Amino acid sequence: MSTTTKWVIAIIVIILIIGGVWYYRPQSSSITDTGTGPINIGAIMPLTGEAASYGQPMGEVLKMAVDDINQAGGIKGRPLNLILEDGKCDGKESATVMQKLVNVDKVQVVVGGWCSSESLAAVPIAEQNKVFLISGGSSSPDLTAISKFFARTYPSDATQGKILAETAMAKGWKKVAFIQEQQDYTLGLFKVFSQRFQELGGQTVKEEYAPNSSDFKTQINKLKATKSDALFIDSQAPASSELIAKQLGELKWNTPILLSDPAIGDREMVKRNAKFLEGAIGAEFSVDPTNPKYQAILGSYKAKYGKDVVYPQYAQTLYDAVAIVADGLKAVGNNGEKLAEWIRSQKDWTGASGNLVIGDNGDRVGGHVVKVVKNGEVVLYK
Amino acid sequence: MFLQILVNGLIAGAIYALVAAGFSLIYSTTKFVHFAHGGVIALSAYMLYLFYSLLGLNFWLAALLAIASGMLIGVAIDQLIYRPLRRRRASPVIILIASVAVLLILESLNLMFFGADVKSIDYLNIDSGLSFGPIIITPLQIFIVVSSLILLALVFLFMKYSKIGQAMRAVADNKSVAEIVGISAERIYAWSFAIGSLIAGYAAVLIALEQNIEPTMGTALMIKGFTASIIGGVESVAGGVLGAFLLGLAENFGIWWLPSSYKDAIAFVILFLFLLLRPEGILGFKKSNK
Repeated sequence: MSTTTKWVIAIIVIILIIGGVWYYRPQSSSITDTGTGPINIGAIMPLTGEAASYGQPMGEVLKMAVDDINQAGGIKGRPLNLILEDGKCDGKESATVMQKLVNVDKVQVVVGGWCSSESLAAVPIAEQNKVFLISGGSSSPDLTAISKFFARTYPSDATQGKILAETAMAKGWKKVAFIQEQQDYTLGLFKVFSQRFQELGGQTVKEEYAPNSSDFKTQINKLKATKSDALFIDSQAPASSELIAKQLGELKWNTPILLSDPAIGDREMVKRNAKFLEGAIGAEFSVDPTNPKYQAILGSYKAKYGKDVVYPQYAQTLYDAVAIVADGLKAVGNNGEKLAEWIRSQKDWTGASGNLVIGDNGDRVGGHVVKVVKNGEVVLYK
Repeated sequence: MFLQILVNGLIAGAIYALVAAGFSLIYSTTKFVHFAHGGVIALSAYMLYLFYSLLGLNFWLAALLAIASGMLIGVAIDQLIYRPLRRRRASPVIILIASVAVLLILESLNLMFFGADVKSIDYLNIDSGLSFGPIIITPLQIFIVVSSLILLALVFLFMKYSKIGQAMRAVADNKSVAEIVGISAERIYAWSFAIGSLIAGYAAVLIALEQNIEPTMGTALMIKGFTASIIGGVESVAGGVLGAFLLGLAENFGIWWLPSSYKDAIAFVILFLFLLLRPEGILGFKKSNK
């Protein structure tokens, strides 16, 4: 091949690449989909990895919510088409699948992420492409007022950390040791708790561990040596809380325990480890068992999947995220920007999780309540 | 505190050693990186869960069946996936990529059949450990440490004195010469997978009792087991076990002084230093480029 031919080929390749990039450039203009076929909606959930212990059942709740809407006639006759992607509770993965949902599937609304790390990574992409992102489970305080394209139906950990700090102080604990998983959610919870606890005159010490760890013995030994009054097991996934509780028992550290909400929310795990977790305190967004819409989702989940939903407090907020999006689609059409504005304007929308009001900062108004483990069951504290 | 951390390091090291021993054994003869070894451990652990918790068999019988299934899975992976690749003269890099794919498939199978939630084997109900002065350790942990050392001794004796062990060493040393004297390399590969995966099955039973079972446990175990093998010398089982104990001790003593968030960083810094300064590992020897 002569040098000239090589040059010609090289120039053609460069033109093709530039042309391709131009052709497939992200569409940043706001578009309202006026078609007649199914409406694509995206979703990001941790379907694999440790967080899959709630990502999998929540994926089922998502599918159930979409099926319910479609059975009731869809969005003005158009069915919803759910495109569920695996965010693996990891920012990098979440950004990749968010790009795919926005650029390939051309969605205007994404339900997700679930883990705070997933949502934090997806928000910039949502904003850039004017896509509405609504999370049913992310609770990191760092997501408050992050973007006008983001909203969540689960309250911020600002309230979880705060009321747990106040409860700890009321119990007379002056020093609380943290064993914290290295995740955005758990770090946010630690920050809020320590800030409030220090304001009240308390002190916190902390050791960390990487996601997917299974050996916590040296961290526990170090924390035990600090002579703290209580231990906060600040985990993203119940799997590690369970092993930490077991190793606490093995190392004979009988200390009062505080749990993060994914751990106290896993009723099966709490029951299995009742002997280690008796008296443990946690805070979660409460459920109202008398709400007929809440009863309805528990009933239809059992009918559809033949088992009880493992995280009812998450199922209700996730189901509502889909339901309110469906109402928004009916009201303003398939347009991310308009949906984000519409949701903030709702003042009397009621779903399975009760009255749902989203503030201007994108956070759900309302908060967590304190729970305690009694005889292996999770009950309201006091 | 010093003694307790020493013990914590030994327990962690023994678990890494159980992973590294089988991995190194397979590497030493076949000369390719069998990452799916971690997947074999995870699947064997689920087999224990299946036989013991779901089917309600006697624990010892269930453990034996789990170990046997580990061996079968390992041999099946070799015969159905690696062997056809070797026949097509695939390079070790291709086989490495295939082994990562097999690891992912095994993890997905765990997720598909057993679900994402954590399973625990409630055979031993350990509420608290035994105290020996300042040290606290559970009987299971003592058993794990002791049995990993016995396993090392057994593998050493097997490699040194048994006919198959000697043939494995011959293939490991020089495959062409071994074939010239009438040793079938393919047969020896199958034996390596059988014995290496048997160790994986044994590791699975102990790890399932100590740490519970979850679909992705194989990857986490493999990362540490692989690091241990590199540190100790990837071509020797003894090296792998030695590297495992060193890694366990370095991690636990490291986070005694450093913040515990550096635990994995300590492992990777050691791995990096060895790859850079002594890629043949502690017990490895430099090969001349004749």
